[in-house]
Amino acid sequence: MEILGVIIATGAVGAAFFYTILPIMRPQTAQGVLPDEDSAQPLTDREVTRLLMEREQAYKNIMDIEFDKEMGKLSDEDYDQMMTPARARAVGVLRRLDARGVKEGMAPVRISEREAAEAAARLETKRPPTEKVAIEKPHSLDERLEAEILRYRKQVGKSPVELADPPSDEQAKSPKPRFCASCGNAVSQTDNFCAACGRQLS
Amino acid sequence: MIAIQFGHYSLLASLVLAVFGIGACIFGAIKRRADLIAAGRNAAIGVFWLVSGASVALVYLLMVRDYRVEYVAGHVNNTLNGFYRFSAFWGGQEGSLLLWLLLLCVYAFVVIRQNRHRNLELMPYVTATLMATALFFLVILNFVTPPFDTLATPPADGRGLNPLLQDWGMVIHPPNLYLGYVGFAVPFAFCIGALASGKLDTDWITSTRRWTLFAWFFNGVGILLGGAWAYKELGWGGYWAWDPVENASLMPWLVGTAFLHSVMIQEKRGMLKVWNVSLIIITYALTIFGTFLTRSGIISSVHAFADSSFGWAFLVYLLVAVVISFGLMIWRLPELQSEHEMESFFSREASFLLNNVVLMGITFAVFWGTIFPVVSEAVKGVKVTVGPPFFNQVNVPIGLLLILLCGAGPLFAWRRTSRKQMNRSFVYPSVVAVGALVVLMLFGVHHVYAALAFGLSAFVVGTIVLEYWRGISSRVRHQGERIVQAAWELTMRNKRRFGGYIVHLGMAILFVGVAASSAYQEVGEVRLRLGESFALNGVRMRYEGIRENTTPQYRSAFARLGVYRAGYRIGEVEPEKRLYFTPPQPTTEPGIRRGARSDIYAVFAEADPDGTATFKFMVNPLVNWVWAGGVVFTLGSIVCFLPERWGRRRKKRA
Repeated sequence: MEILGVIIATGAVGAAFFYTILPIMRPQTAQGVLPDEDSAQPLTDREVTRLLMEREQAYKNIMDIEFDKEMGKLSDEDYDQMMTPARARAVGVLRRLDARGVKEGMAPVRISEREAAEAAARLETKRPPTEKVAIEKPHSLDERLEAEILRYRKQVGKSPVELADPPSDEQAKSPKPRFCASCGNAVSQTDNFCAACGRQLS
Repeated sequence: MIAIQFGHYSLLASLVLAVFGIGACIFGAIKRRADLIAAGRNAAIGVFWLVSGASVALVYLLMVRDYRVEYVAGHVNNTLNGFYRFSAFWGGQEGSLLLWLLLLCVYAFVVIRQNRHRNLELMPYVTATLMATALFFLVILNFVTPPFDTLATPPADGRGLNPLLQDWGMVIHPPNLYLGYVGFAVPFAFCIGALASGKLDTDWITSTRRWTLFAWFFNGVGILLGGAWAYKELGWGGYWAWDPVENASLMPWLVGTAFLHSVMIQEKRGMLKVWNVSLIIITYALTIFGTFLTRSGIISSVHAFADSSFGWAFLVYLLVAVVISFGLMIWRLPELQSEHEMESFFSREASFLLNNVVLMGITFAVFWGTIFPVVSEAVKGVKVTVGPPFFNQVNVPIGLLLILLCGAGPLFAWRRTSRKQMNRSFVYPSVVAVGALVVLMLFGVHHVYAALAFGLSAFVVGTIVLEYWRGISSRVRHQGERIVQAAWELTMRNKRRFGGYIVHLGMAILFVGVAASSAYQEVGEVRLRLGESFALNGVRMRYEGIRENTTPQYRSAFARLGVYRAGYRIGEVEPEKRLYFTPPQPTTEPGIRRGARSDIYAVFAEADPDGTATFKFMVNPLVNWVWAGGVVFTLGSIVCFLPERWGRRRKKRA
């Protein structure tokens, strides 16, 4: 009996040790334990990481403001005061990400390009044509923000405000962000000068 | 013999694998060697299987009463039934340490499976951290208190399980508490993974949100079950005595509660990163500290195991874990800066921060009261006892502030709330609170703390009702839903928020129960002859006789007491006195008549040969509200824990 016990214990322990060293003997079994360098964001790029985090927070912030408004915790005035800089901040982050060549939907908001295109197309069809402005496609960024937030909601599984239908075009347009005509930086409704280039805003 | 050897060698091999796994994971992560990381991961899986095998072996040995094993001979006997033989697995020092290790290995296995394709940067460090904790327990189980040690001459019968542990509450309370205790190791491991890898975004928080909730929930339920067991089994009429080991289980729960709230600020505003890291490190350290308190024998407690000599090992491990964790945090400080500043004191984040301060204040008071006897003995050579008066005096006012925050927090918006909106939000809950207070005072509630607790609990309920009302009316308006459907959808679409509100509701109910049963408990001790009666708080109890009973485990005597209210017999209670055969030990089983208004609680102290008997009677008002609050707390926690899309109505396609 004692011998049998030793044999069974040795067998179990041997199997565990063999399983442990298997990846060292056959490195092909170890695939997928390290992030794929091509698709993952390089850890050294701290700035991009920071921007992506900031973008995620900007979206969450917008959703929270909408929720608080719907729950009656924000007056119309407070809502406008908080939403305008919140949207401007999100647009600013998107622009800075664009400048670094970061693709839409990249982590931490993981949404496929196809979903992004579909959401943007849906908004395009709903939205009346906006007047052309001299600055570098500000309206496309605004729309992209709408689309991104919509997709973000889809990703985190929350409908807008989790209460009502998605905001109508009228609602979505009301706190329209402003941009500096000189450098394209996002500015808040109350700014008189651009924080980036110092130009007086009209 | 097969099971003994299997268990013994499995634990020894697990130790070797754990050491290898830690080294392989850390070295592999630094050198970016996939083969080493995979080997480290496989070592952790190997440890899981081997520790599971060892646990099954010990349970088997207990079930077949193999008295060759010292642990089996010390914790079961020939008359103990299968249910308690199984629970003897965690009834003693070695077995309960093995249960700790087993749960940790199960969690490590699940975490590894869950994260096969995600959090890849973090996982080597997560695995290494979990294995480091496992290694500590494996060292103890292999070299200090081995559960598979054998006796040279096995006895014919074992010593049996401690009679106090022969109760269903004691069967499920320790595993429940351990599920929570050990569970906090997972968010801690992810935090260490984030610090070590430098991936300091909110991923480690979002990935472990459910784990934290899981651990926190079981820790909380474990505390409540412990209270229910003490109330039913120990016979002193209460459920919480600020016993050091009770305190040890409460502290991680309090800090865990603070962590659950403050991570929301990091997720939403990118603030309090250093604070959150500190909180989870403290929570983990407190779980190890709690285990140390029960094992070391430095404190006297109803829960503590016999004095053991390895308390120092826990302290050394605790010190190493805290130094490494905080060292990593300090190293990463420049990357843990807040992205925003607090905009207004009247905001959700400010209320959460205040809630954190309050919870940490209670934790510190409890910690200080718990270790003070040890500190005073070390410094002055005199062991000073710190009892309930200290804890109540310090914690009751802070606790009242906590109830207030429970109600006020949800009324604030994120970032800031204007005075006008605040007035609008606060008016209804305040009216409810003041109204409740006035009515209660008119009905004779004059105990200041109890009245405040009732009023503030009403404030919490008012807040929750208002939040639901606002949400429901919005859904009815926009979606055209009926009220019940709207309430369901609202909860299911905002599980974290509204699940949290249900937890708050449970806490409010629990606080009412605690306040009433503490402030208005009535106690009487009396010696009665057969047929005599005793009145207490409008309830009369009449001593009607004694009956005896004998089971294979114990001999017992029941005293029958008729219970009368306003002259009418409303039932009877039968307190019991038992004498266990092995080990020979007397116990008292109170007779309880439970009710929504109050519990009638009778303890049979002793019977004299002349036919008289001594009883202790108690009327405990609203004590069942404590358990009811626990049930609501459980429901709320389950809502928070449900998958994001569960329970939501699917939209009809146009």
